[in-house]
Amino acid sequence: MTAVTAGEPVPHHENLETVFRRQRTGVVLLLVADVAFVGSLVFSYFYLRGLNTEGGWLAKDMSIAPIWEGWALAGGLVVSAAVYYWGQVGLTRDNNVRQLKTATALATFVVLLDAVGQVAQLVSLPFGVQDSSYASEMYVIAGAGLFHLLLALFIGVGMWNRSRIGKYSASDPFQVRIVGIWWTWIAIAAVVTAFTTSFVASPNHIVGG
Amino acid sequence: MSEAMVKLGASPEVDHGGGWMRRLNLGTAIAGGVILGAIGWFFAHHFTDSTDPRVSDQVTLITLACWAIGFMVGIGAFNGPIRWLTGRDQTHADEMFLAGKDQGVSRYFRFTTDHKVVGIQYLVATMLLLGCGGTLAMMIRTQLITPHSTFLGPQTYNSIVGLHGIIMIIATIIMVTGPFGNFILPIMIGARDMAFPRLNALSFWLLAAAIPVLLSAGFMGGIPTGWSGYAPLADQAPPGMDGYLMAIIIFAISSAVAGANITTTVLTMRARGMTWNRTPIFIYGTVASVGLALPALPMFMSAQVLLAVDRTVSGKFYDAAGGGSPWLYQNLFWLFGHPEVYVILVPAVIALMELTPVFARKPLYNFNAAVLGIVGIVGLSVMVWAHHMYASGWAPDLNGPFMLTTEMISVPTGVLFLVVIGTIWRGKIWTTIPMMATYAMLWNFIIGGVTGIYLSDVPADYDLHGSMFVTAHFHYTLMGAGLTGAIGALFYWFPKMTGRMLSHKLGLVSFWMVQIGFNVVFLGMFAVGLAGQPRRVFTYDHMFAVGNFVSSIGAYVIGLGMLVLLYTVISGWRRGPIAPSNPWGGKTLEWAVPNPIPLENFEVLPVVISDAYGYGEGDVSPGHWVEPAEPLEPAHAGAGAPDVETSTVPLQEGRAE
Repeated sequence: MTAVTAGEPVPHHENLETVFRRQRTGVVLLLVADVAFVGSLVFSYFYLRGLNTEGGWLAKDMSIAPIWEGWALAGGLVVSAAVYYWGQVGLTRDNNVRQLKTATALATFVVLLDAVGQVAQLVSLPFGVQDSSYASEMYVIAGAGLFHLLLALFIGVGMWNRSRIGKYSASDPFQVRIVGIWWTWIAIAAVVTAFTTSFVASPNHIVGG
Repeated sequence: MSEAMVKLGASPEVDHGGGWMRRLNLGTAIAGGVILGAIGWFFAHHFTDSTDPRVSDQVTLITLACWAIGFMVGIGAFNGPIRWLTGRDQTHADEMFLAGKDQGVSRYFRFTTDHKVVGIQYLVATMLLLGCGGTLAMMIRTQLITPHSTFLGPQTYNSIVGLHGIIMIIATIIMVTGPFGNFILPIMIGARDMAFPRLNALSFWLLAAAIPVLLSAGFMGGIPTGWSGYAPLADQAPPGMDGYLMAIIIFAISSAVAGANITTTVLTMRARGMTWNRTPIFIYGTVASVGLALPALPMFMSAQVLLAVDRTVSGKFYDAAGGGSPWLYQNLFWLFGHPEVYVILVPAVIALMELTPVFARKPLYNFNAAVLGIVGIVGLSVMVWAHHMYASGWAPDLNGPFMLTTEMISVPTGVLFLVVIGTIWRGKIWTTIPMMATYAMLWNFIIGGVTGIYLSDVPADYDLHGSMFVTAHFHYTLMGAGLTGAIGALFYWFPKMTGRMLSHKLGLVSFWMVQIGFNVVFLGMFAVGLAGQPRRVFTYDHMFAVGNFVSSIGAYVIGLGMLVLLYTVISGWRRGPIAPSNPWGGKTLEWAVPNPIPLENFEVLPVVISDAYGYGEGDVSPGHWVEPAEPLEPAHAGAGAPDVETSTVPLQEGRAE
């Protein structure tokens, strides 16, 4: 490769827009891994449900988890993501740091409520993890949701604190936008898992499910 | 480091004083891991139900998880997130400290963010893993040297086979993208560091946390399932299986972080003028590998999370009696497992493709075909996983389609072969160890590839599945092509990574011992496999005695060759001849930076104005060859001699102009 040097030294610190694009790419790629993980949980749910091995997807006379719970938790995250986005727009359009601070506080509070709800769901499921493959799936999907929520809680507290001490402005909204990608993804993941767990009964009745 | 770079990189904030966070290192990491692991063990031991048959798995998993968290706390992995949370962002002085500026050898034992340090750390970790896995291989072959050897018992043999397999898989996944993807790749694209230096360090230290976890499996009943960890056997295995699954979970996170980092670096930080047509082929190979691993390893991770639930709280994912299915594990495993073959192979083969033009003094033959070959392999590799499951009875109707996609993948693989052969063809060959590795790869990979086509064929697979034939096949691909490629890459880039040359003579001894030993082992294994010897069985019939004896002798020759290689590397690193900055006359950008490489690689970022493979295009100037201390004469001195001065403008000289 033939290479020549630039006429003058490239500035040591790159401009924020360049750094933002790079960080956005990185976050999206990390989300690819998370999408693959959540996707494989969804795959395993539908696979075992469809297979209904020995009719054991649902044990005989087994109660199922209320479907509305998953949707309520997903709804909470959608609301949280929307509130966060409201704060992000306030910052990027109007340099309204106060709006961002309020939004991150509210969004984080909703996430906290969601996390409490997720724990409540886990401890109140009307079956044990060992009762059937459906039961095992429900616990793992709920656990994965809780993991997302705890991460979001950490990030949310950080965003609120950093907006409180003036780390962000209309000229430097990039981290806010990157966190917005994460927030949107966990809301989507919650909707996808709520949708998944809405399908309970196995379509495979031949085996006896 | 050059003076100019010191001035550029330094700031008035530089301060090596205070802050306990700056005192964290490998010692505090181990202490943190042991302390938190002990706390975890104590609580797990006292708060779990001792009558539960799963209690040992619960205690083991909690202890290992606590070890990993404690280790990461102790190395300082959480410092950045905590400072971010509290709004106290790291200063430039902190970043310089994290980059290991002026820290000498101690920076290799810290959470250092400099990609060159991380590359060396990966190199040492790879050698450690290969050493462990290789020692276990010697034990396996010693057991199999006679039909009814009592060297190992059946349980120990099974455990060692499993441990050998998974250690080698992890080692080969990281052996190119770890050391060279971290050390060489950023310089090759003209960048000052990786896109996310802290994630870079995180990926390595996660691996470092996972290694003891994996090795601990050997002391907790081992991994009796083979490296694949198939359920439902894994559900019933001793606590060693918990070490396996926890190591996989940590390694998957490490790989995801590394994959996102390397891919982002290539996508966003290539030098000005480095269009995709001017991007060296090694970059494509590395991105293909980590890009494949990015979605593949989380699926393996999810398989292990489900296994953990089965093992610790009697989940029913893989238990057919409770509505689960072992096929679920097999699907998740092979959705990772077959792309993983190419995660290992592609960067190793492409590393050899990168260096072949250098030693053939010819442009890479058909760059576009090489890129298309890589793209074809990546695309098809996610559509072939079920060829591992023909004999399992899963979805027989899909056997045909999977046979077709598997056989199709030989087409882009063949294209890569043609590119390498076309590059060598009528070249003025300079026969160095890296170039010999290219020849060896062609030989071994042909055998591995052709036998793979047999195994992709459903009727043949029904006969050969579970036999030593399969073992020989995948060793020909992963070791014969993969490891050979990594060794070639090591000899090629070692002078840039350490500033010292490796001994050519010792390299030759090692090369021939390993290659001859390798072919003796695995051609013998093909023979006994075809004759019907099953794999993963610690005894065998007398009819297989000769083949196994020959294989074991070959294995010892490999072992000796690897010891010679280890000695070559260690002695070369300590007191090898000082390497010139461009000993091979390479044209990619890593050869344009001086030895030792400045902290941030380039004082002035380069601008690329042509492709990387303009060898032998009228710019030959043998008089400018920098004579290394080692005898490195080209086979055809003169026309074949490198053309370092005219092809690559060293950056500082360029600036002076």
